[in-house]
Amino acid sequence: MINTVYLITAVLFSIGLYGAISRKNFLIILMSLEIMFNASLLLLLTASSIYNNPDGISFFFIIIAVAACEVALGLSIAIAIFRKERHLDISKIKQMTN
Amino acid sequence: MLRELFFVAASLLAILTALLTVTRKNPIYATFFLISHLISIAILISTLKLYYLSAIHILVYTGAIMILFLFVVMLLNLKEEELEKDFSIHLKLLYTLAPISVMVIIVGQLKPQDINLSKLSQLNVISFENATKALFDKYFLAFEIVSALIILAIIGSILIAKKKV
Repeated sequence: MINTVYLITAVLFSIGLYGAISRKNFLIILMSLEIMFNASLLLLLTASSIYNNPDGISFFFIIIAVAACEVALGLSIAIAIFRKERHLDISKIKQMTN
Repeated sequence: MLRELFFVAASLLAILTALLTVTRKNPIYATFFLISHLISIAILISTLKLYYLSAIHILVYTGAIMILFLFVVMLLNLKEEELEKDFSIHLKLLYTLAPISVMVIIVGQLKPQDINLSKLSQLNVISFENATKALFDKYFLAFEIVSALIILAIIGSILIAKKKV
């Protein structure tokens, strides 16, 4: 049962990777990055509880703070792109500023 | 037994909602499916007997980060994207082949060795006291750097989203 966690995290990571490389909407790419982030977080916590090591829990707080920073910066970049281009299609974006 | 049942249900729900998230046209629906994905990840964390972390995960991810996402999606008032009409069959093949190969590599690398427990109920409850002691003792530098990173992210996001520099 525990070994299937490894498989589940690999499946979730590849679903996130598929979304990140195949979609064009900037916000959905950010969401796919969140899916990949959560898959690796789940893997860290699983390994931490299998090997009975409390370091994974310590790193959980650090990782969650880094994820919050990433989302805040990504969403402000999305607002900046939308203000200039009026869309979020990354295949049509040429530059972010003048 | 109940723990295994919750584990299987939550993992199937996580995979299904992740698939639905990356295939929606409308970003608002994608955000709602991502919220249910994160809740099922929190259920998976709680089946590993890490109940406090599952509560923190729901509070921070679903309560703070996803609400920020939803706020920005509704603020920007996007039209539905034209879903990959101009992609050729080669690109579609590539886009599905690359994640599958990454998955095969990860599964091949992660062979869990020296694990002599097979059931989730055999897991030990990790002492939370040791973990938080390590956070303020062994990993104190990382903790301080993260606090500086949060300040920098606040300043950076204000500067980027501001109208005129």
